[in-house]
Amino acid sequence: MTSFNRFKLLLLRTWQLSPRWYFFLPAVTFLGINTFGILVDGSDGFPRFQDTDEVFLSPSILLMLFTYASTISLTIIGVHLVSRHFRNDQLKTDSLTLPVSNKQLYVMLLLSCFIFLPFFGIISNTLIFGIVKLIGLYGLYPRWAWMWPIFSIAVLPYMMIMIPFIAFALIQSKQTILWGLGVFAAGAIIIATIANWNPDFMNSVNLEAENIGQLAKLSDDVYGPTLGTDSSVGISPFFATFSNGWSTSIFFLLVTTGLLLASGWFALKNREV
Amino acid sequence: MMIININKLSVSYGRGEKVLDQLDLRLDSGSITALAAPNGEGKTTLLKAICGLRFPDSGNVNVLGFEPGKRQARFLEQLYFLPAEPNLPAWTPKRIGTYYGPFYPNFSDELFQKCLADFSVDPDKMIGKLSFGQQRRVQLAFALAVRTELLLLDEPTLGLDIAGKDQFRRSLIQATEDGQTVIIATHQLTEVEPVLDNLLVLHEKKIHSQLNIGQAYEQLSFTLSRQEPKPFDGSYGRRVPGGWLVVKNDYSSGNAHPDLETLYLALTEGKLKLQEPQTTL
Repeated sequence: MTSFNRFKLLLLRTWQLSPRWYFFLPAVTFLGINTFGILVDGSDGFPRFQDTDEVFLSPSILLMLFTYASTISLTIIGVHLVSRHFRNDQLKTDSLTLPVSNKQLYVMLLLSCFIFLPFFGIISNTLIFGIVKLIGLYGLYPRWAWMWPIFSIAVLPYMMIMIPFIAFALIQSKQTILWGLGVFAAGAIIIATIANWNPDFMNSVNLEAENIGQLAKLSDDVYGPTLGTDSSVGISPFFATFSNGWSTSIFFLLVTTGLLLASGWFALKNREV
Repeated sequence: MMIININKLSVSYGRGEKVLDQLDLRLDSGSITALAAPNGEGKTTLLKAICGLRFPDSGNVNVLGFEPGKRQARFLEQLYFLPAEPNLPAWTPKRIGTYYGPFYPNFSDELFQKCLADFSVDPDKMIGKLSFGQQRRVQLAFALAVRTELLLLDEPTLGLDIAGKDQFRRSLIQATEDGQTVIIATHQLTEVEPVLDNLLVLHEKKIHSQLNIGQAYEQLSFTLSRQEPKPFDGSYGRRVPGGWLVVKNDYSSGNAHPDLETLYLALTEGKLKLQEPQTTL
């Protein structure tokens, strides 16, 4: 029996646990947002307020909304996928009596989520981009725009959001979820403290974000990602924070993820049916 | 060889009342044992403690030389637990064998196919298109084909028709000829009695009785009587059509109607004491 076959089995089991409509959620959100964008689209491709002719919904904002919506959708899917595994007594029994060690089971469950979610995210969103291109709106996006959803959906959200949430799902207890949220809050406090300690930190982040691309201003203090027309990639201040406050952010990410993954591991080891 | 050694096992759910309390159990290998208990008395909990799905609050559990709670792969591949309500993947039986079988070193695809054929199940039909009873047959066929040292079956005859139950008994005997140990948790003692060697009665959170059925029948008499036995005369009477089936600790009275369910009721109601209670089978 090869590890690959074991992994394949868990992968298939995960697939069976998944309500199919979840996989269409990112596509639906994306389609909805794009449809909305197309409906309100101005002649130059930028939706505008009728009275003032002011652009209020640029493609970059649409893309930002799409990215966030997709991320949220995929997060829900991920949490649900794993939690179904560990909420259902029959499935728990099946998983926990399979002759694999706790360690193998844990790794395989995580891997199966990592494979499934980006896979469907990429497919659904590439299809949507294809439709956008077919109906002649591709000009709104740079030539390499199809890479953006792959990158944003398949990589970044997983690094920053999916891993802790999978761990949450594995934990499956209110107390530990609260504890996990506490870890997030602690991380936020650390970031805020560092920002306070070094006032230039946040400014440098925003300045850097402006330098990265055209910053679409929604209000005085809320910025969306930008989508350059030539070589720059759309990036939100949130991601820019990570690119600037590199060491702090990585530390935060590693500590948080590490703690949550450890919680998930101990939860799995102590999981009873 | 002792395959299960449990000392003073206590298990509770959350902070609730204990389901098992200071339970001791020793079981030797190579037998088919029924585990019977009133509803909610912890049959399934005991099976789960044996296979590592439930951890002891206190006490020691040793199964096949392993501590089940650690859920080591080497331990799990020697044991198969068939829950009362398992969830089969939406595959064909053949595919279930292909994917799940290799996890168990002694799995025999040939035996699996034979059991499926004996159970009259089409190996290429999707599980979702099979009836509940047929799905149960697939589960039983797989459980028998894994050929693990220890097989734990929770209500295995649930959903089986008469022919299915008969086939289950025959397949169980064939599949366990090479010395497997089988524990069958069931309320349907009559359905599995023909294949049983031993009876474990779980009552009041402990192993109340542990006996070899053949030896027990040599000690006891089962007779039909038109009159209800008098209380406190060391016998137990069960109302049956036409009178009472009376079980007594006196073999000389005859053993014309041995009945495991009557014996179980007599034991759990405290009306019968065996002469030499056995602690190890």
